[in-house]
Formats: sequence, C-alpha cells, structure tokens
Amino acid sequence: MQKVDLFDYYQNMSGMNVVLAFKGAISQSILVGLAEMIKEKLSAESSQSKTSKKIFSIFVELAQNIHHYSTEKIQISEGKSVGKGIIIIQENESEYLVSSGNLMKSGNAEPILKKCNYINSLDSVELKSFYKAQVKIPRELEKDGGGIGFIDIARKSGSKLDVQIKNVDENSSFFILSVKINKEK
Amino acid sequence: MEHLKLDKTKFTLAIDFNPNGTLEMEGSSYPESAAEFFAPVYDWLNRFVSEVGTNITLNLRFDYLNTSSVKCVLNILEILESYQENSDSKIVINWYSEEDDEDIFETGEELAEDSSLNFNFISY
Repeated sequence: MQKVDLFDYYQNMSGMNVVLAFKGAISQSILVGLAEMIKEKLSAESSQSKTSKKIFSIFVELAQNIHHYSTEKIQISEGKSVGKGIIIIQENESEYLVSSGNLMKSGNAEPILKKCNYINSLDSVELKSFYKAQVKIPRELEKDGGGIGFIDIARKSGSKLDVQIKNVDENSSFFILSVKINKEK
Repeated sequence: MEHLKLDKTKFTLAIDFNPNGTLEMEGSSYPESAAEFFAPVYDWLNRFVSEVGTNITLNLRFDYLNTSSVKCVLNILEILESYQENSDSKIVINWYSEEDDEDIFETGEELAEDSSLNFNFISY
C-alpha cells in the first residue's frame, strides 16, 4: 500500500480553506464529537453565534443522512450498521461551505435530484409551507432520504442546495451536497 | 401514575413529566433514532391523558432539534390536541428560547401556527 504524502494532503486542504474534514463511518459518537467541537470552535468567535448554530444544525443533518442512507456501510454490532461517507467544512473571511458525500443506489439519483431542484425553485415563503407539509409525514414513509432534512438545510443556510451526483458503476452513484453559509457582518 | 424522568445527554433531552400535569422537556435532541427515544415519552403521555387527565403545563426549553425530533415534538402536540378536544382540561405550552436563537423560536412559532393549542413564547 502506498503511503499518503500527509504534508501534501495537509497543504492541499489548507490551501482550500478546509477547517474540518472527516472520512469514514459516521457513528453516533463520531457525529456527536464533531458536532460538539463545531459548537465550541465556532462559539469562540462571539460575532458568529447565530451562524455557528446554523453550521451545527446543517452538519448534524448532513452527517445523519450519511449515517442512515449511505449504501457504503459497516456493521458495528448485531443488526446495527453505520453509513460511511465524507464531510468537509471550508471557511474564509466571508463564508462557510459545508459539503458531504456518500455512496447511494443509482436508482435513487433521479428522485433525489428532482427533490433538490424542487426545493431550490422555492422562495422562503414557499419553503416554509413545504417544510410544514413535510413535517407531518411520518419518518417511516420518507423514502430513502431526500426528505425534510434537505428542506431544513436549505432554510437554515439561506442558500441553494448544490447537488452533484457522480456515477460510480451500474448500481452506485456518489451523492454530493454542498451549502454555503454567509458569515454575520 | 409514575414520574417519567430521563437524564439529559449531549444529544437527548432531559424529560421530567410529573403526573400532577407539569411536564418539562429540555436540551438538545439529535439521537440516532428519535422514534426510539420518544417512544416511552409518547407511551407515558397516552397513559397520562387517559388515566389521570388533569390540566397540563408543558414547558419546552430546546437548544436544538434535528428534523426527526421536530416530527416527534409534533406528535406530542397532536396527542395533547386530541386530549384537549376530548376533555375539559386546559393545556398550556410554554415555548422558551434564548434571545439570540431565532431557529428554535421559529420552530415553535411554526408549530404553534398549525396547532389549536395555547402557546406562550418566552425568551431568556
């Protein structure tokens, strides 16, 4: 196995303003640990208290989506599996960019893309109505993700959902969701 | 009926449901399965409204609710709405939010808009 050039990796990530990156199985404890760290790190900047709450919230929704819906899973105990994926937070002087990626069934690509495009077509009043309609639907009836979590992410970030789906093989695709959160002035 | 008490964790709520009708929920909620966490809460509430049936004051002090938890809070409100419709009991929901937490305030506001229950909004 070839060793990663960690300095190279580190430089690349720093150059891209990556402040947090996690690739692997997103267990509940990893999720909680990272989320708590985000809460702490961001709250140190007192001018960004509203923004830090939004980033925390968006991070939790994205991470839980990977946990539940990634088709790349590890079995952690009897009957319990955890989704694998990647989450990255980038930060510069004016904004944050939170991105997540995970494997998914290729068959779900079109419906998810449709849902995200629909969400992106709504203004904030319409988004609120859509959210209210969806919140009443029991979670068991939400099919394969792309439900209320995406609406919540769009509302909290105040920006469009940037979705990309990359084909991997005939059964799998890689789903990428990014959102931008502006810093408070 | 017994008291329902659940200790707060980093990602689950403190629950303190007193059979005298004072019900408290506090903290952040983003468990692996909100449905699993809230199952005993629904269970207690359903038994309470059918067995005890007093007036209810529900004090809610949420720091964060993931979307699954918002659905569960809605389920709780629906249990209470149905109870209100079928009895003479008075129900008051006190929705607390930190002064600079517009997200939690908005969540409460939106739930209240579609609910027949009496909500008070208190900031601290």
